[in-house]
Amino acid sequence: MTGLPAEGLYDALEIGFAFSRRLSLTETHLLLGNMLFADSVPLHTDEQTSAESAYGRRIMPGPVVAGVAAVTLGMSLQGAAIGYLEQRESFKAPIHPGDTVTVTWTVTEKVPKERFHGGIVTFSGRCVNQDDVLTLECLGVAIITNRPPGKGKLT
Amino acid sequence: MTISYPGFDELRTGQRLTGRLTVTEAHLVLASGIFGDFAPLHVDEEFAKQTAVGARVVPGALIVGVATGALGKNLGPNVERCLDQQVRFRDPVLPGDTVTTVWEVVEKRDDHVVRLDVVCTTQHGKVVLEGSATFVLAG
Repeated sequence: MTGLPAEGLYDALEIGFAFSRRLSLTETHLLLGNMLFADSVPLHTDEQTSAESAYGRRIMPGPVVAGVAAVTLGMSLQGAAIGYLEQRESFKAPIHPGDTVTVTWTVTEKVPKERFHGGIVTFSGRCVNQDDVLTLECLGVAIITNRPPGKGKLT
Repeated sequence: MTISYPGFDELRTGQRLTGRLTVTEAHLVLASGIFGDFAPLHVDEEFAKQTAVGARVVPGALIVGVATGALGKNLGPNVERCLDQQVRFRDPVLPGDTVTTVWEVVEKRDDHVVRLDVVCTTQHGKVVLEGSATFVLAG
């Protein structure tokens, strides 16, 4: 929970405000991620090849980790995030099945946009594993409205 | 039959690598589940009907995965590491859309690092995602 109000959320977001989410990423995430993305890179699917790689075992597809990070934004902002415009990721260390990741986003920039009854907000993100190893640095840009959930439609 | 994948040495600047996938309702539901993305625009048809799009849209995170998967399918075991990636979401993808991904090699560096641009379009020619990524490749 962010403690932010459901209405007037754009105004309530202050530069430096941070929020987090923790999630265990399992074999199920790896398997379903590969299946959905139609990805066949052996580092995700072949334990023998992965054991001989620098990683030592299979790693989670980057888009699964990046997706979990992105969704943390949307789900933490109570429906006020009505459009996700851009995301940048820098992968720092691998995530393995069974790791628990903590994603933390911090508000870094706000640009008011009357059209959206709010504005465009830039967030800086970090993702660490259960050993506090930095695995992902990211940036997200979203349209955030002041209108209550269900009323902040993109029109 | 052995499938041959291009490695760093075989790839040329300007070379394109493509993939195509029909993204279905099943993708939407499963992606919402694994990402924990239950935003109403993805899971509430009545809410989505009232938006400018008029229907549930596929999570953007899934389209990033589909784009990356298309590259993985072309490069297979030669993918050693993804260093960074950036994407811009241009338009929504709806269940049933067929997404064509085109990656283009824009830079090769001496340390086996390759930079590529990516564009995803639907069957209507609509650009839904643009971006770029940097990979370390074997070969």
